Order: sequence, then structure tokens, then C-alpha cells
Amino acid sequence: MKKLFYLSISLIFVFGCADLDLQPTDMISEDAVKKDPKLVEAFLTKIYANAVFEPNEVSSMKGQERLTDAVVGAEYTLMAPWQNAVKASYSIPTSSGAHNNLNRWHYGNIRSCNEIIEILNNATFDAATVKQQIAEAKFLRAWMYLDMAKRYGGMPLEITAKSVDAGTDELMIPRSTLKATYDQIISDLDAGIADLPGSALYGKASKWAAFALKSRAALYAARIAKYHPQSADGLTSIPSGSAGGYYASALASANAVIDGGKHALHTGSNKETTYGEIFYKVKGISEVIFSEEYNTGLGKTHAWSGYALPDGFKAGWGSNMHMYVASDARFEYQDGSPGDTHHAKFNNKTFFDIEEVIYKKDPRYLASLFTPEDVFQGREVWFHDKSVGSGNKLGRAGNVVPSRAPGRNRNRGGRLIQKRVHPDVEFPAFGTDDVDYIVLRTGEMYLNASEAAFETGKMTQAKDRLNALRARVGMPAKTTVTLDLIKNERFVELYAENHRYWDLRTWRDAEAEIHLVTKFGTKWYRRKSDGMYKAKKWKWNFSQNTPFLPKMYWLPYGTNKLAQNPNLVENPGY
Amino acid sequence: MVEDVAKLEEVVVTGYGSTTKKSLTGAIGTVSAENLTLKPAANTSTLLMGQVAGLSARQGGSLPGYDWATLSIRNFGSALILIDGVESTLGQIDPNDIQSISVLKDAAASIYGARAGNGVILVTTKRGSDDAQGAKFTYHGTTTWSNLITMPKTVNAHQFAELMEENGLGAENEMPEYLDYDTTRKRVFNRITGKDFDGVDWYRTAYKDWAPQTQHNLSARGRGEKMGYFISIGFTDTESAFRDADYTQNRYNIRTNLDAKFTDNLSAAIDLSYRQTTLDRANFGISEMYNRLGTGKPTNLPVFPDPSFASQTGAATPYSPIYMVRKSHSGTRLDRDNNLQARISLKYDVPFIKGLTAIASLNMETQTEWNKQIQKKFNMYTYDPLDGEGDAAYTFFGTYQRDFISVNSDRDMELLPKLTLNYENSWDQHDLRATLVAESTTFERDYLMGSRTDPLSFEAPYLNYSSEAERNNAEIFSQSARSSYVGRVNYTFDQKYLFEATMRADATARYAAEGRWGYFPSVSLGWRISEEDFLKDSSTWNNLKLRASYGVMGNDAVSNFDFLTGYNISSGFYMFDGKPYPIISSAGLANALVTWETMKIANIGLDGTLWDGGLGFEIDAFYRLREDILALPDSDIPFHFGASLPKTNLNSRDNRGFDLMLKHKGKIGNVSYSINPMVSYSRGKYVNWEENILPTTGVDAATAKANAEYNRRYVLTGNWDDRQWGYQTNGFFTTQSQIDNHPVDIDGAGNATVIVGNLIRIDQNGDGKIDWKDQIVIGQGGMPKWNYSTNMSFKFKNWNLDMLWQGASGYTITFGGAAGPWSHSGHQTVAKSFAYENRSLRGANGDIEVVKAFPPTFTTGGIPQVDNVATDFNRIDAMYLRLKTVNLSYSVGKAFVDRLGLNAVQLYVAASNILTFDNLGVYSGSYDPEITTGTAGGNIDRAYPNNMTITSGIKIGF
Repeated sequence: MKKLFYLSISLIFVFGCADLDLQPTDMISEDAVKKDPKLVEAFLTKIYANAVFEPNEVSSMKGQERLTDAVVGAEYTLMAPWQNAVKASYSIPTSSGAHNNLNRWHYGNIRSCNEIIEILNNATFDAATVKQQIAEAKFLRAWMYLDMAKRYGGMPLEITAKSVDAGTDELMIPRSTLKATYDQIISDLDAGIADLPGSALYGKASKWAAFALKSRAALYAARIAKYHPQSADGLTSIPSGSAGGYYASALASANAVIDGGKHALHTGSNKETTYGEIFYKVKGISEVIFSEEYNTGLGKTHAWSGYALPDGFKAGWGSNMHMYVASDARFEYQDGSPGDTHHAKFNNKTFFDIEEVIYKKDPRYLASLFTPEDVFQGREVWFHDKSVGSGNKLGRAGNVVPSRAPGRNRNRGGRLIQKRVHPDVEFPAFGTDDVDYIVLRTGEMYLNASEAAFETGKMTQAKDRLNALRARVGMPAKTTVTLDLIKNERFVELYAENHRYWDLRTWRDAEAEIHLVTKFGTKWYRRKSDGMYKAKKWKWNFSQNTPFLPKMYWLPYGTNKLAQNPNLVENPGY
Repeated sequence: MVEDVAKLEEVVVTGYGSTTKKSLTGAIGTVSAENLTLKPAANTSTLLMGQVAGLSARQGGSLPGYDWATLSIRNFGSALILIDGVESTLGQIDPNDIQSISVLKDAAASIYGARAGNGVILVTTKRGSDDAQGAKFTYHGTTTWSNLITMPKTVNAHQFAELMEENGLGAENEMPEYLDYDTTRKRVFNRITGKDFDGVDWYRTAYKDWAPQTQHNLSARGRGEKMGYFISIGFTDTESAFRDADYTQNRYNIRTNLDAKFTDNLSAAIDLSYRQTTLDRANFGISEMYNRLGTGKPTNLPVFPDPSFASQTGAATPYSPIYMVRKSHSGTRLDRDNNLQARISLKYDVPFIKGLTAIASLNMETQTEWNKQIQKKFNMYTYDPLDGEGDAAYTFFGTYQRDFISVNSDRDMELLPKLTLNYENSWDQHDLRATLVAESTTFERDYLMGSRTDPLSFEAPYLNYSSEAERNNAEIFSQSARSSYVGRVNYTFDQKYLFEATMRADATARYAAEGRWGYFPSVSLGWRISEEDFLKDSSTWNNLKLRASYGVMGNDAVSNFDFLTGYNISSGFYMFDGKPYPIISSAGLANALVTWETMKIANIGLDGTLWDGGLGFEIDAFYRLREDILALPDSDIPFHFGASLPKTNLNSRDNRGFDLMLKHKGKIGNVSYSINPMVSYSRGKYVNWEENILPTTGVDAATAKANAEYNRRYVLTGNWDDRQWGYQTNGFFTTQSQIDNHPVDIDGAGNATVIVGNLIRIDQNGDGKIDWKDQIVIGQGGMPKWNYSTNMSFKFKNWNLDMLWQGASGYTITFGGAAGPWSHSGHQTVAKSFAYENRSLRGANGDIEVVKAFPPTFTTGGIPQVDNVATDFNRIDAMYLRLKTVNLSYSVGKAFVDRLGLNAVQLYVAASNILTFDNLGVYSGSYDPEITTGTAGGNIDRAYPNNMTITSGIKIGF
């Protein structure tokens, strides 16, 4: 009896007992990370991976979201109004916040920078590695603060990984002034310039990347100081007196890259190919200072060509990025005549020769765009809405001409973006691209230098830097420079590289260039007998109602963010 | 009367035991075998619809192989489903194997502790008969034909062209070259033949009318002196409604439940069950297919005159849904799931202690979900007879997907030993029963995948014969474990006063030792009033019982190893110089005390039977408090801190409601009948939520006002949990002058971007502009608060007619995307007929001339941006009533059956989803009120619809 009782009791424990001290299979302890440089490296790599070098580049978004900055900056528009990038261009931010595609909050990753700097400051392994990794973390922190400051103005500056137990005063910090924010960015980049190697692993930050980013940050700060009205709290303005200093700093940093020799402008004899291949080769091009690498074999891919390729060359989406006529006008002809020289002919009557109207344009235009009868992969890209008359004049590549182009090529702008599309890849499956993304390149440094030199009265240098860039593509030199000329050159050289929106905002030109501006595309008509074209300008509704109100120079933090910290102040107008 | 006494003696399965209906103290609903088998259903979950008050089951589509029935007890969330005591899913068990189903709605579920918080559904399979008898064989076979009940009807080619003209895209831009549009006649015509071209409805091309399903089950059941057995084999084969699609599901179920008696004191149960489901189909994504199907232009042929040239939709992403579903084009996908369960349990009646039994059992389960995709690249073409005849009419357009092979295997293994001690004794007026259980579970899962691109040949579609260039593989391993002790005491005094108390202790490996053990007590009481002297002899009251219960339960599936700090290894990487570099990320701050959610539920119920079964009722009212919901306690730290505080058990919410079931039985002439209506209601609130609640006192008046406004809009604490926020509208602008004179700034730019047809959002706070402060509650979520149903049964001689009506209300359907009032604007997703017919028409000056329910077609295509916000304009507080099933059966006369040498023969025809009444207005018929989200949670126009089915069946006993 007793035996049975004990047996039952012990059985109960046997049956009711499982080993509960299990461990998850995907975790590493904190201590291990502090001791192992390989793990610190992996943590630093995470910061690179999440730094968002291309707009809205998030692991799950191969998509159209990446086109946002260019669309809101009116560099090009997209095929349909329901695409989020287009929606972002319509939406007027409210106190609830800006459109999601324009919001970017980096604080999680910034905390990782702060944590890694703390780990490295206490690390016992190889001092040279420690120094370089700290500098990398600071470079990345600067990148992310700049990415926020250009949207929201002065930011709450977190430069240490605070403890949860820190007091309210330490946690609930107010926004720093915009000047303090830019100075923090520049100081991190100075650390990068001091400690980063001149020659880094491809894809990692080097000394030259720090110089280049500093040049951009200082130029933004200088423009804001010079062109934006002063705000009482300094959150959305920089004292105008400091403009000169920032311009000088932008110039010196740009010149450091240009004169450093490591990242010389890419040159070659065929001007169009030379310029075009920068964007689809990327790796191995001297001009590329900093870039993000892709690889189809490893499954790190994007969908740029899936959106860019015209109908007739695409497998899936395609024909998505359409240039406006106004942008066409900014690209001069190879003889230096204005880009809109022939625009009067777009009257639906006059027939003209596309060799003259299109194919004599700036090589950068030809490399950046698909245009009517552009020969790509040995065939013509068709854009014509209709054929006129009768006859059988063949296309530019000698092919029979369809009576009209595929629908997707003729329903918007009449010109599509080609930049960054690899010409060797035919009918790629959607989302399998691995052309790298250029984050910083020397072309921008020439423009930064030219503008900063101009603003500080160094006219010769301003002109030389500008003309050097033009000479690389065989465009005639300018004899005098104006700010408008520099701005136009910047548009042309950096077209479709996501600069324009931020340039317009920092110059305070966005209202004039964007707000409810009427935007046109081109409809092309091809004469069958001789291959001559006539054209008309036309507009479609969804690109017309794009607002840019003064308050939009600074995006709102939004009600929900403000509710978390009573010391935060919203930007004006929301 | 006799029948009802039998009902009261009916055995009801409860947690770790069973009891009789009359001594039940908890709110437990039951479904018996008869109510399950003579009905058509490919999916066993759907059989539970309308059977138990408070159990809501909604069918969110009927695609074979997918369990889209949502089973929820009192809207608590997904319930724990146990089949013979083992955690499982309901969808794929053979209904012929089920003896009974119990639904534990209140503290009765507490005995399942940390997993039972959302209620428990207990499924018990059949065993050898109760009485000794020889083998009884049953064959049950059915053939079912199913047809979709709702299908969106799209505009024809003429209407499509008309819309494209209205929205400024130009009809001619949206159709192939050989077609043209006559703007005066408003007709699309073929330029070669001159004949009108009406166009093609892609939906009708994609679906066929009737899809078959067959089911067979053969079982043997009996009991000898030493052995009892139930042996069953079942087979089900289901086809989808996709036309030309290679898409079938089949399922084999095998079960043997054996009882062996070794000695007078020692017996054993040996149960084995095996299930295999195979989904054999073309290789395509269901969501992708629906996304593309909605964009097929009526002006583009889904199938060309020469069908060997694959079509495309003519839309931005043009992949043809018609060819995607064909194995010949997109390749194959085979999903094969195996589930094997084995159990042995020994029962020992302890000889020297009367009423004490001990049962030791060991349950093992292994499940493998395996699938292989052989994905093929295929070419798509455009068709234009203007280009020439025969092959010349086809132009290569592009390709869809890549050649690719992947194999995935997901293997589970679970081990569950259990020891049970039961004690039962009665003396004088006392009845005592006690149960003690110890059990533990260990579980491990290993997921393995491998893939490669570009097989050398599809003749040998295996990984090792594919390209070395893009190889990918992965393994995910996880394990968990749980230890549990359970105790229960039942005590009855004088057959009148019932008492039950339970206690469970659970420990799980998901949590740190500090928070690992949880204790879940419950108590319930019953008073059989009808046994009291004052009612005992009543001729009216046959039975009256009052029940009350209170219990504590948990939900432990909310956190996994959140108590550890450190770094997570991620499967991602970042590239430097051509090489992938691994990534780790900080797991964040940790909370060692993190533990499960706690549910406390109180229930009070009254059961009664009057007039010899003329009226029966069961009514229950409940309140459940769900506490310790994990939340990030971030209201004390700002976003720029950069990390979240560790998850902490902070939040709480609740549910309240009632279930009512009535029964009426009667006889008119030779027809006996029963009617069994039920209704239930459940709604929840946030009780205490971790969030920013801004101060409204101790601050200046302006701040207080602004903070109060913020709190009204954003604070959840104290509010219903189903509120949908948005703007109230008052129609749409019909003229430009109306916009010019509108006093409220709708777009934030002085209405500069507002156009005719934009919605007029109401300025609730009268500040002259529209922003979040003007948002109000405009909807109540997709989960119905009210569920109602009625079972009706009529019996006349050998004929039986059963009907189930079922419906729901108290929920909101949002008609977004292509299902909405703007869908006639897009050129991407093709407009539906109802949208075309209900659109307003503009006059020459742009103002609206013909005002109808929907705004005019927009020149922008898609929803005009200013309207791209949540409004009440495209929401309906829905309700419906549906004739869910009808079943007419005939039992062949005994004399005839005997002559055939058989036991019984039953023939029946049944139909489901025959008739629906709803309040969806213009959307009615195009959309199903039971479906509130599409595949993968997308828009409702992107879902495989529900079926209407017609079944003929035969059941033969021999």
C-alpha cells in the first residue's frame, strides 16, 4: 500500500517533468560580442545594412517606393497615380505627419552606432581596427543624422547609448538647433576623415567618402543659412553669418576628393557610353566613392530595370519612369545651344528630324534616357503614338516600324529613364537586378566645388570645376558662370540620382519649381514615308496637382512623436 | 419525456474526463456525430457553423487545401483545439471519425491552463461500441458539386473603353492595335472585320461552373469480450473552380482505436491515426493570381485563337492569371503533409481502493509538411491579327518567372507522456469524484529548405542537377517544452448541489525560471432547481439548473525567450567587395519576469426544459478580463532613445456578452420537428493600455484642449476595441463653384488640389480645416459582434429534412481598392459593372450632370488623392442571413434493407450556401458578406469566393 503510494507520487513527477531549460537557437550573448572582433564587425555590418543609402530601400521593398525622392522632386513621374511615390508627391503633410515614403527615422540604428562606439572604446583587441571601426560608426551616424536633418530640421541629438534608468531630463531632451545638428554631422565626418583608410574594402566607408559626405552636408548647411529665413528657435534655420564658413568647408572637402586622385572622373572616348557605364558598371569605376553592392547569385537584388525598361524590352512592369518636357529643356545640345531650341516645333504640325531634335543632345541626355527610336540592345525603342501617311521607311536600326508603339511607351511623358539599366541584360526577370547603387561620386564633388566657389566669390574656380565636368562628356565650356547655370548643370549631371528634391529644398526653390506647376509630356507621331516626326505637348491630370507649400520645407514630426516627449517642438505650419 | 431524460444522462466530454449533461456546471456546448456527417464540407471546421451558441465560424473562402474558416469562441481569438487530448487543427480530420465535439466556453477551459485562454474545443474520436456486439461496417460516400456564389462582374469592352475616354487615358491606348473605339456609337470594334467586339470577362475565363468533390469512408466498429475497436479509412478528393487549372487536393485518413482488456483490472487503449494530404497544383501564388486576374482587360484576350501562345493582361504587371494556373506553363507545386499519431494508454483499476483508477499514457506525434516547387519560366505574347496571319500575329512580349526548384521540409515531433489518477465514490447523498493528472510535452521542429535556379532539364527536376550558381539553403530549428500538473474535485450533494474545483500548474520553457510557473484555478457551482421539492413534481418544468463559474487561464504563445539579452543572428547579410558579410543585431533590453497573458472569466448560466421538451433553453452571460498582455512600456521613453524597453506584461482588455440557445420540439400529425435557434453577442474593450495619455490638468488651457483632443482620438484605454477611425462625409463635390465656395479647407492648400467628385469631408470641430481632429469612429471592425443561427429539423416517416440558417451582424466591411466606389477610375484594375453603373457623369464644363451613388470617373485614374483617407463613404455596417445548409435524407425501409442483407441504408441530398440576404446594397451579389478580407489580408476583391455546393450521399450499414 505504502509502496504503491510512493510509486504513484514518483510516477507523477516523472510524467510531469520536461527539461524546461531550453535555449533559443539564434542568439549570442552580450559578453561574446564584446570580446570578439568578428562579432563587432557583424554588428557594424548591420548598421550598414539598415542605413538606407537608397531612398526607401528596405529589405522587403524592391519596389516603387525607392523612386519617391525623384518623383517628389519632379525629376520624373511614374505611370500611375496609385503608386506610393506619386501619392507622396501629392500629399500635403499634416500634423499627423508626412507621407510615409518621405519619413525616415534612424534612431534605432543610431543607437547601434552609439553602442558600438561604447563597446569599441572599451575593447582590448587590435587598436588599429578599433580606431577604424569607430570612424566607420561615426560616418554612418553622420549619414543618418543628415538623412533626418534634411527632412525635419534640428534633431534631438543622441550621441551616447543612454540607460533606461537615466532621468527624465536626460531622456526627454529637446531638439538641437539645426546648426548644432549640422555641426554634429560635420564633426563625425571629421573623425571619419582622420581615421578612415584612404583605400577601403569596396562598399565600406573610406576617408574619401567622409570628405564627400562632408562636402554635401556643409553645402546644404550653407544654402540653408543663405537662402532660408531665420527662425526664432533656430530649429529650421542656420544663422546667415555662418554661410561663408560652410561654403568654404564644402569647397575644401570637395577639392580634397577631386585633388586626392583616388577617385578621378571617369573618362573615355565615346562620351555617351563613358557617362552611361558609370551607372551600370559602378564597381571598378574610379569616380565611384561610395556605393551599395548587389549580387543576384547571393539573392541581394533590386528591380530598377524592371521599372525602367521600355515596353518591348521588359518582361514585367517596365515603362514606369517618365521624363517631363520641362526636364528635357534643361539638357543642352552638343553645340551648346539651349535644350528647348526645338520645343516650338512640338506643335502637332511641324515635321522634324529626330537626329537633329533628339540625337544631338548632351551625351548625358542620350545615356540617361530612352527616346524615340533610341537603339537599345540592337533594336529601336518605339514611342510614336500613331504613324502618319504611307510608306515603309525603316527605323534607326533598320527594323520594320510598327504602326504605333506599345501602349505603355506612349501614355505619359514620351521619354523614359535609362540611367542605371544594364544594356547587356535582355528581358530580365522582374526584381533580379544587381547593378550597384552609387551613394557618392566625384561628379557631385565638381558641382559642390563649383557652387561653393561661386558663392564665396571664387569665380575662376567655379567656372573651371563646371567646365571640367562638361569637358568629360564633350560639352562646350561655359565662358561665364551664374548660379542658375550651376544649378542647371547639377540637374543635368545628377539627373535621376535622387538629388533634385533636396537641392530644391535647401536652395528654397521648391515652391517655384514644384507647386502646382503645369507639367507636360510629349506625344510623338511618325511619318511612314521618311521617318520624320511631329509632336505635341500634352498633359495628364495626375501630375498637375502636386503642391509644395512653404511649410513643407520642413516635414512635421507628427502628433504621435510629439506626444512622447513634451520638450519637442513641432515645425511651423503644422 | 423519455427522450429528455436520456438527454440529461447524455455524456459530455470535459477536460480530462467526462460527465453527464445534468451534472455539468460549466458553459459547454456540444455537437454530436449526427450533426456532422450528413453535410457537405471539404473542411471539417466549417461543419461547426451554427452548432454551438457563442462559437462563431465564418468561412473566408473555399479554396481547396486552405482552412479559411475562422473559429472563435465568443470572439476571444483562436481557440485551443484538442483531438483526443492532443493539440491539433480541425480542418483535415475525417468527420466520420468524430464521436463528439465539446466547446468549453468558460472556466471549464481553465483545466487546460496556460493555453486555454481563448477557450477550448475538444474533439473525441469514435471507439468500439459501448455494448458488446459484432462488427458493424459502415460505408459513407458522397459526391459534391460546387459553384462559386459570388463572382465580381467586370465591365465589357465597350464600357471599359467608355471609362478610359472619361478618365482621359484614351480608349485607344488601352487596347490592342486591331481594335478601335467608335466614340459616337460608344462601341469597340475589330478594325479588320468591322464587327463590334464585346470583350472578355477574365473572371469567367478563370473559373469553371461546377467543380467536383468525392468522399469515401469505410469503417468497422464493434466490441467483443476482450476487445473493442473502431477502424476507419477515408478518402477525399477535391478540385478547385479554376478552369483549366491543375489544382486538386486529396486526403487519406486512417484510424484504428483499439481497446483491449487484459485482466479484470488492467486494460489498454491503443490508438493509431495517420493522415496524408496532397495538394497537387500548378506553381503560382494565390495572391499573385488574384492581383493579376483583377487587371485582365476586357479588350485583351485571355486565351488567343492559338492557345499555345500564352496571353498577358495588358496591365502594368501583365502576367497572365490564366496561364499561371497551368502546370504546362508555370510548373508544378506539390504540398504533401503527413501526420502520424500513436498512443498507448494503460488503465489499472486499483483493486484494493474502490473507485481508484490509474491511467498511464504515452502519445507521440510526428508531422511533416513537405513541398516541392518546380517553377518554370514561360513566354508571353501579344496578339494582333494586323501583323499577319497564323504565328505572325503573335509578338514575343516577355517572360514570367525563372526556372527554379525548391524543396521545403518542415518536420515536427511531439512527445506527450501523461499519468492520470481518478477516484470516484458515492455514499448516502454524497457523490465525490477526483482527478489528478501529470503531463509534460516536448516539442521540436526542424525546417529545412534548399533551392537552385536553372535545372539542366525539367526531365530531371532535382536540385543536384540544377545550376551551381545560385544555390540557397536554410535550416531553422526550434524546440519547446512544458510541464503540467492538474487536479480536479467534483462534489454533488443530493443530486441538487453541484460543485467543481480545478487547479492547474503549468511551466514552459519559453520563459525564464522566475516567470515560468503559472497557476490556474477555477471553481464552478450548479443548482438543479428542478430537483427541489417545490419544482420536483411540476408538470411544466422538466429541468431547471443554475450555473455559475469563475476561472483563470493563460495564453502563453505570446513570447519566446524574451527574457534573454544579447544579439540575434540574422539570416541577412550585407555585401563588401563581392562577399556577403554576416549580420547580428541587438536583441534589445530584456525582462526576466516576462510571462503569459492571464485570462479571468466569469460566467453565469441557466438551463431549462419545459413542457416535455416543448421548450428548452440555455442562456449564459460572461465577462472575461484578459490581463498581462505584453506591451512595450515606451510611454516613458521617447522615440529618439533608439531602443524599446523590454516587453512587459502590462496591458489588459476585456470581453463581455451572452449566448442564448432555444430548443423547441413538437409534432404535427405525422411530422415531428425541432427548431433550435441561437444567438450570441460579444464585444471587447481596452481596459488598461500602455500608451501616452496627455495631461489635461495642470497645464494651460490651450494645451489642455489640445491634449484632450489628442486623447479623444488616440487613447485606447477605456474604449471599445473595434473602433475604426476616419472622416464622415457628406457626398461629393458636384460643381467647381461648390468647391470654390466651400468654407472648409479640405486639402491643406485652400482646396487648390480639390477637384469635382472629391468627397466632402465634414469639419467636425468647426476650425475651418480638415485634419485628424475631425476624425470620428466610422466603423466597428471586421469581426461580427452578433452571430445567430437556427437549426430546423423535420421528420416524416423515413424522410428527414434539416436546415441551417446562419447569419451575423455588428461588423463593418470596407470596400477598398477595386471593390470600392472608385474602381471605375483605374486603368490598372478593371472596373466592376456595379461601379460603372453607379458612377456620376460629368458635363462638358467638368461639373457633374448626372448624380449617382459614386463619384464620376477621374481623369487621374485610381482614387483621387485628397480622398485617399479612411472615410465612411466606402464602409457598410454589414449584416446577413444565409441558408447555410439544407439536407434531405431518406432511410430505406427495414424490410427492404433486410432483404439486401444490410443493416441500414440512408440516401441523402444536401446543399450549402443556397440563399443569402444581406444589406450590401450595390455591392450585393458581387461580394460575400462572410468575407471581410481577401487573400493574405488584402482587398476583398482578391479572394477565392465561397462555394455553393450540392451533394448526394449514401450511407450503408452492414
